[in-house]
Amino acid sequence: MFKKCILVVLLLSIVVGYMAVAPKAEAKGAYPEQAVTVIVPYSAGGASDVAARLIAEFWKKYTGQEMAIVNVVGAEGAVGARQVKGARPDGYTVLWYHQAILGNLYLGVADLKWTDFVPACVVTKTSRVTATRPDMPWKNLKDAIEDAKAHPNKYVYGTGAGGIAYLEYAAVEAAAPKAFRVVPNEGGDAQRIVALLGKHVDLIPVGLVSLVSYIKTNEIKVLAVHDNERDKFIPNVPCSAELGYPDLVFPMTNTFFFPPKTPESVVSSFNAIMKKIIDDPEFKQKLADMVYAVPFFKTGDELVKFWQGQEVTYKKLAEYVVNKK
Amino acid sequence: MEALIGTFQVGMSILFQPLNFVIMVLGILWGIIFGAIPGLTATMGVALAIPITYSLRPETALILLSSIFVGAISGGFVSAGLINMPGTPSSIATTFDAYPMSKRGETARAFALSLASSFLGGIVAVFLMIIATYGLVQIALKFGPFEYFALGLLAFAGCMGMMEGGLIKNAVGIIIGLLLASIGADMLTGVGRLTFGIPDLIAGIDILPLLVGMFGISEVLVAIEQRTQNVVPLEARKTKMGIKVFMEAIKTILFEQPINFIRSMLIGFIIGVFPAVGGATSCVVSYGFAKSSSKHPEKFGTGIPDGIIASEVANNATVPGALVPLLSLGIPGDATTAMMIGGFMIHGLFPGPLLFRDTPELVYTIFAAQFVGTIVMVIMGILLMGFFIKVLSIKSYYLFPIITICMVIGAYGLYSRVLDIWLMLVSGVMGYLFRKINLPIVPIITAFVLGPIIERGLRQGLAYSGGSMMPLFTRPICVILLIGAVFLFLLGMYVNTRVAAKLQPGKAQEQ
Repeated sequence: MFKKCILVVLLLSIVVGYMAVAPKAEAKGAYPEQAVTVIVPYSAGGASDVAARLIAEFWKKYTGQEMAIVNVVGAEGAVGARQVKGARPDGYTVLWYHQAILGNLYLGVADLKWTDFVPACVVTKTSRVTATRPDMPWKNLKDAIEDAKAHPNKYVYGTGAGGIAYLEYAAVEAAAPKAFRVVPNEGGDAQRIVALLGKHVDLIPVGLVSLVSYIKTNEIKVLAVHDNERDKFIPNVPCSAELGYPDLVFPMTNTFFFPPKTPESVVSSFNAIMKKIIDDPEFKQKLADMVYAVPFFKTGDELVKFWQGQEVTYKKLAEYVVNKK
Repeated sequence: MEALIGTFQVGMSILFQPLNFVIMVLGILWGIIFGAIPGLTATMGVALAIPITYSLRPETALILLSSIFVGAISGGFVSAGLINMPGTPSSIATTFDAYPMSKRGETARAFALSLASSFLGGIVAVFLMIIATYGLVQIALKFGPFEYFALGLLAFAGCMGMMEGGLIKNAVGIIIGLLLASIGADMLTGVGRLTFGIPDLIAGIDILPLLVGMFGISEVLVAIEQRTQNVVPLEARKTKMGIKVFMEAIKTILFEQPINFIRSMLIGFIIGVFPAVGGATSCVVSYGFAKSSSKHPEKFGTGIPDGIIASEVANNATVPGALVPLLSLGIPGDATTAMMIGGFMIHGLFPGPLLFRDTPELVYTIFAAQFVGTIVMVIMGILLMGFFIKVLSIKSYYLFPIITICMVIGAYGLYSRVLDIWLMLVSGVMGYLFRKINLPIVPIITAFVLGPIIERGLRQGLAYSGGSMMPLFTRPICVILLIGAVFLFLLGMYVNTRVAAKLQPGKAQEQ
């Protein structure tokens, strides 16, 4: 009898435990009649994930339905993206992804194109920046590049392995060929920050959101925002375009992508709800506080034009990288 | 000092929030059950809990994982004493004396000694852990590429020398592990390696499916083949351990065997700190030292307290030790802490030099959970001893199907990838075959975990120095680590040849 009790308790605890993580079952109806699953191709707690969870919170407020976040991690987002590409085009599975898809494509990490999906809308924008330690003499990126040109191989640039950080390095390399020693690091922002603080590298490309606490304590200073305009969260830092590096423009704009062949009607109802969320002042405030991001809303032709523009930038720099090898 | 104050103020206040405390108690219970049942290890206990931590807050998740670790390493003595099977590999040396003592009818005493040793070893090591982690964090940023490379070499040297299996088999294991680790995108260029045209393999193999397969699925396969059933001796089933017996055991350890206690604790802790060498090694090494420095070595293996104390103090001191490199450098101290990295990652946390800076309260909470968890473990051990003995007699035809289902869900649950389930099953079959040819699995896992660290260290270091290996011999931390590697290798050889040879006859008799 006792053994049976243990067995029942064990089984129950397993079922209850795993129910909390199991994705919801699907049904049919008018949009959105049930929970929408958002595939976030990065780990929980990262900038993409936090923004997605914030949107999910407001999605529920406006639709009454759940938005379930599933983190499918791997290969700079390619694993999760591939999963959505093969998903049923019923509007209940959607991908939350950004320019890494272009980086992956042109650097040969994955063969997914953004045109493989039905893009719904761009929603948020966060900046990427070049950062250094406060003990370095430079005021902005131009100082650093000129200094490096004058003293080749003196400074170390800590780039990424593939991915966007590698293309950012390509833009710097194009402006100052062979001026920096280059140390690649695959571990993303956290590892590059460790290398910078430990004085193993002098200059890193990094997402602004990863730097927030270091900027406040003055442990890291920002040399340039990789964009055509300054970032309102760090208004004193020049943007790369005004410093004369128009190729170093890498805003991270998270976009919702539906699986191929998702009907137009579903996409437009989805966009209509997103528009409401974007216009919610509480959402804007939380977005700024939590991920240093601003709403950046584009749909339809505008969206396509934006991504085509990004495509050109990425392709150009990736070709530069590949030819250099 | 700052770290100690932080632990007891910030860490405790988070730990004693109602939900966190309940989770910790459940974690300990879960851990002891996994520890008590042979074939289920601390690593499995942590692995299967990781998907559940998705829905928890980061600090609650890490409280759960670290208390499972504490519980499981302690729980191993139950089966060690009752059926002469180590409940986890960390209790191998506990069987040598706990079983003979229990067979004599002194089961309660054997358990009390094990529990008291676990308690004292664990609790003192927590303080060492806090001091060591804090100290390492101060210099952690000085660890550049070459230092990480040297640290990896040190771990491999320790692994080659220390693990059971002998030099050649350990080396083969390390090579297999390195090959498995190199599957996926090249870390510095993003080009796919050894992906065999499977698109999702570009992301590499995750530690969870590999480890759960190699240890868990292979265990199930072995159980199917052998059809064995744990039989707990009738008279031992009624074992009751009162508080009085327990206090006597504490007295024995502190007043009769203080030197044995301190030595075992230090051995356990230090072996825990060394990357990738865990409790299974520390208990055997500690037992070996206790025996060779004893005035009556011939009594070892006949059921004397000295042996139980040496083994159980050491393996529990290993737990806090293994957390030191994880929390300060981001390098796992053993297989279980390698698993815990997954628990950090799914919450967007990266164990390493920045963890202490960015989220000190989280680190303090883990410290506090180790401290309070050790105390809770003892209380549960005393109160629920009868229950744990019953758990041990669960029929394997109930247990293993449930565990297998959990393993499949756990593999899928980490990153929601179906491929991970297949990887786990394939690793399971591989693990089973390795067992058949007596190839130790631990070096494979060690190399798999450290492979990326060592590769990144070397390649970044060479990019940094312009192709010169000289910094490896001129940077002070590198030199210390390399000397440590040689020392660890020689120590391992000594332990394996001398001490293990002394252990062998006794071991053979028991089997």
